[in-house]
Amino acid sequence: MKQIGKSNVILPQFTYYNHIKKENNFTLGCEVVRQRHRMKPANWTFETGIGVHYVRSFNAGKTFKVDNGEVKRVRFAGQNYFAPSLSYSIGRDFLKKRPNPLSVYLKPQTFFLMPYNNAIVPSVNIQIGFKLHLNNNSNA
Amino acid sequence: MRNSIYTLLAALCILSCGDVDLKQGDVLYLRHKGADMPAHVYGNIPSKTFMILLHGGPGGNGLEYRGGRYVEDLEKEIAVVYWDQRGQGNSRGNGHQETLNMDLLLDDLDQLVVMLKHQYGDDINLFLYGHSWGGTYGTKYMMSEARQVQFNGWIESNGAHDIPRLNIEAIKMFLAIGQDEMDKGNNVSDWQEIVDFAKGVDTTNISEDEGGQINQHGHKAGGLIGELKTAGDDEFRMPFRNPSDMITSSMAGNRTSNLLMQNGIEDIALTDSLYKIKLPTLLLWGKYDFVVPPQLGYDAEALIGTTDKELVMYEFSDHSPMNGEGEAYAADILRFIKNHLK
Repeated sequence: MKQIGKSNVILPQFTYYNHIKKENNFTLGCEVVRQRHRMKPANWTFETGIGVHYVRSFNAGKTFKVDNGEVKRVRFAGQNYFAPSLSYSIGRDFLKKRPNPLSVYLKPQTFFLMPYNNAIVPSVNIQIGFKLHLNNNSNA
Repeated sequence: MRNSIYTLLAALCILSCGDVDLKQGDVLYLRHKGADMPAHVYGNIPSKTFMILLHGGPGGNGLEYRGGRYVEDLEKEIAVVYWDQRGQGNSRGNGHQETLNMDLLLDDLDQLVVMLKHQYGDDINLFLYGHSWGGTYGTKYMMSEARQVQFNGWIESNGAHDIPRLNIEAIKMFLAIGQDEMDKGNNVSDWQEIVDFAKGVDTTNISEDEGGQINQHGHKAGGLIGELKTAGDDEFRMPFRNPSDMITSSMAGNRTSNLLMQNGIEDIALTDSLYKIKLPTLLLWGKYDFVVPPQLGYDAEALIGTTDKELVMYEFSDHSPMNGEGEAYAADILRFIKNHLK
């Protein structure tokens, strides 16, 4: 027989990634996540998230500008974006023994970067993560 | 499920960190009038010989040209500057929506030249290479003598330096070669579609829409010629192993392309001005290029204002001879460059 639970959480999110030879990128924001747990017959978690973020990118390599024929290095050059996001996550608890069950999740997330070259463009990432449940009674 | 996750993890690791090329070369960004434009410099930098690559499109990116045998041969001898033009590839920034036109792009290239000479020295040998739309861009740039003197030579490959003319010439090729192929019984239904389309176009008044369709049919027609040489497996590059961001690059590139169209690039016609180019020039064309027909290469060979010019026609290629005949293509470029070093 299926056992299903639901809950809502607000999830602060800070991410960093390095896109080789393109940029270093920091993201600060939060997501409102709707969780749905299916405890039996297997322990699955499904999460749908919607969020808002501030995104700061730093160009890879060196950035220069030319002023009246003189070349100047621009340090910490990059872009600022506002980015709403959408995500969907699937997680599963593999260890049946308590305490400290470990679960793993797969979370595709799309940031809608704006303004990006005067437009809105999606930036898609996939998170693969592990969750360590510190609450021994937690079954999520 | 568990095995699937392990497999996915392993695949992502392989895709994301396997390409040693990513650890080589320089990446320089040019900041100019609201845009940060990356120039990826790969190859033999100590040679002090640089070739700036103007990519196609508009809407393409520089690094999409970095694949295959021709690149290996070029980068052994010279440094290639894979530059992403404003609003395309990995270029980023805002504020040029109203001012995005050819003059701004030419100004960007001026600044790129200054930046490269600052970074690698005033004594470098500098060549400009443009493919397809890059040929439009480069030819427009070479209309100025002051700009020509910055370079040792100009290399135009399948360059669209006269867009109204290329549309007319493409229609002629569709009709002539299309009929010939149908007579031989080759891909009859596909050619019939192209020939029917060509017959319906009034070449004295080609609309922007029809121009787009000519381009699409041109790419399709090239694929129907059986005797063309095609790229080998080594031409294919995994998307995750290239610094170009495929999704954002494609979307931003399309938008920039549309803006440039609105601002009149479809009307660029430089055939009558080719005499202004006094710089040594190498012209590279595919015989079966239906996108930018070889006639534009013959025009350039006849009209460019220097005697130091050469047209190479690749017998088994369409719009991208670097893919099918890459070895010869690279050899021709290197021969030209070596003959025009300071």
